[in-house]
Amino acid sequence: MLLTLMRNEWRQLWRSFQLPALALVLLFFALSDPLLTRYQNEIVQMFVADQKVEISLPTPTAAQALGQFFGDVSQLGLFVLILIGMGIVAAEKENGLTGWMLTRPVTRQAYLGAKVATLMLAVVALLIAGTAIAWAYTGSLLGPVPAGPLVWTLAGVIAYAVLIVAFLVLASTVARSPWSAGGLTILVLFANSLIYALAQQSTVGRFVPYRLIASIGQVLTAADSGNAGLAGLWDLTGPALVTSMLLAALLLVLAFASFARQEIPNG
Amino acid sequence: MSSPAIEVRGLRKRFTGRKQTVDALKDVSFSVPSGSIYGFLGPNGAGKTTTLRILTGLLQPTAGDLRLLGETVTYPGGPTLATRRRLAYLPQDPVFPARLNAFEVMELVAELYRLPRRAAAERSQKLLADFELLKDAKRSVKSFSRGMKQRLGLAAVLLPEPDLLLLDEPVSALDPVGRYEVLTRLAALRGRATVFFSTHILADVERICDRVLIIHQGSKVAEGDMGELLARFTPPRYRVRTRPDQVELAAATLNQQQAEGKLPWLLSVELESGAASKETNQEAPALNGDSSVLLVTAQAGRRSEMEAELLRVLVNSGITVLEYSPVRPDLESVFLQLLPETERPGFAEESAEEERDVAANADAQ
Ligand SMILES: Nc1ncnc2c1ncn2[C@@H]1O[C@H](COP(=O)(O)OP(=O)(O)OP(=O)(O)O)[C@@H](O)[C@H]1O
Ligand SMILES: [Mg+2]
Repeated sequence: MLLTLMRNEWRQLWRSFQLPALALVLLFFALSDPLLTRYQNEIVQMFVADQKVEISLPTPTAAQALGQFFGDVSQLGLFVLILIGMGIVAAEKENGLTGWMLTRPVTRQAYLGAKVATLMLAVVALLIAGTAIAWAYTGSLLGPVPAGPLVWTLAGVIAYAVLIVAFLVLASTVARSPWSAGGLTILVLFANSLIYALAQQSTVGRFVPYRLIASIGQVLTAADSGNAGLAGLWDLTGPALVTSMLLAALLLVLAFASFARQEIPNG
Repeated sequence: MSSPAIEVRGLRKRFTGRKQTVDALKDVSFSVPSGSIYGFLGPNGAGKTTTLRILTGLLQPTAGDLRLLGETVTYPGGPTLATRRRLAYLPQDPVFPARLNAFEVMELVAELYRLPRRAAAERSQKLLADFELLKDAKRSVKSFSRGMKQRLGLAAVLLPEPDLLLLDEPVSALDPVGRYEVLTRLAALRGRATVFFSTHILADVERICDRVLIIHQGSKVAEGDMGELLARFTPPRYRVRTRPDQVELAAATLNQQQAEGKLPWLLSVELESGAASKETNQEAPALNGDSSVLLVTAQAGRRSEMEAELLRVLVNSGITVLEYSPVRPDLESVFLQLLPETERPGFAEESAEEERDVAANADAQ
């Protein structure tokens, strides 16, 4: 049953252009960010027509290109993810599809589980694929990036994405409409970065999920400061990664518990 | 197939909103025998859809015990997976996963019910053909008309050959031919599956149902065997055709005999057009060509007295009776009788008409 439902969910996400949109965003940044970083100096020079002005620009690095990529993904990519995730349950509850599904031989757990699993798997797969493309392209333009920091950054970004999906699922399950679910998510994300900004220096800051995004640059350049070892990387974002995963699990438990008790008024 | 397919005891449902609470169901009990075709009637807002949503587990009852296919239904959640594999539900406004075509919808249903793939594909093909959807089967379901969606919904409901079909106004969007075909098809399930369906259309219920449940404003007004219900709530009535020039005489005779206390069972004498009543002896309303038919109604439960006397009285008065036949009672009149008077359709018109009649009589005098 779960597999049937997941296949159906995948088909819906794909045909409704939701996943393709996310894939395109990732592909766009995977190609444009390395290129723009590689030629940033030339581009600046082009705009500064007066050749007599000497501007000294730093040589672009591979870490910089990938940092740019992850930064863009965690903004526009996140935005697309919210648009996808906010309706995951709420939209179907509104249009009666949830009712239709749940009156077939489908348990509520399977219905929600298939949705969560499909979206998470799709997001993780797309992030990995996008990063691989960005990494390969960056490598050909700007030289190699040490694998350890890159993988660790990706792990952090994935954990953050998983947390967001979990929150979206909960919001979409309890909210009255997709838009209120989306709004709620944006509020919480804002609070997340605000808390991080305030607590950055303290021990608490090390556990705030937003640290995964805020520290991307530091992780990618960890090799330069001799921190590319496991301990060094862990020290940077390990605690935030663990909190994110625990929080994601908690949010999902809440979503399932709430969904199991809900009335589905349309259908 | 011995225990009832549906058993509902003391079902209540209260919707608690911010502004007001609605008691959609107030203590409804009924029981649907296995293998029967069961009609569920009630005006808009009576609580039919709410009942079906509770039966399928989408909504939770405020109170009451429910059993489906012999299994006690618990909430939240509703029927267990095993029970749900044996039942199929068609919502009032069928929706389907967007962006699937009709074939894919049928395939999804088959997979969810775990039907053997090959057999299910063949059966889907056949059902889509039966419901005249084959030529549109590769088109996105989103673009289907309401009637097409309803037909696809019916095909999907029939696909798993369920033991119990819960259908919310299954023919509401169909054209007359489609409606006839679907009802015939549902009737053919009698004995093999239980069909529980809601509707406003009395003729549909009359055509195929064994039993009916009538609710109004969340309360049961009647339940029972179709025939019994009709017998109980519709007074016995005969249709009498006389020679055209004798209609007035026939009506006058009956009314006069009643006035003399000879026909205590007689309730009313009407022209079939419905225009005249007991007072036909006065200025008869314009008689058109074929108004030589009287409807003679007896009081409830006095059929045999009527049958013993009516024809004799008429013949003894020298009236030539050309046709004499019992009128089959219809559910419409049962339904209307059961509704509170003020809610009967045409209530306003009828009283207006009465006033007009009174005025006309006053003029004549
Ligand atoms: N989710 C809800 N919240 C509040 N009230 C509701 C809800 N669903 C139904 N009701 C109310 O319950 C009553 C019964 O509604 P229901 O839809 O069951 O009627 P119905 O018999 O199916 O009518 P129709 O013939 O129009 O389909 C109505 O008064 C309706 O307004
Ligand atoms: Mg309804």
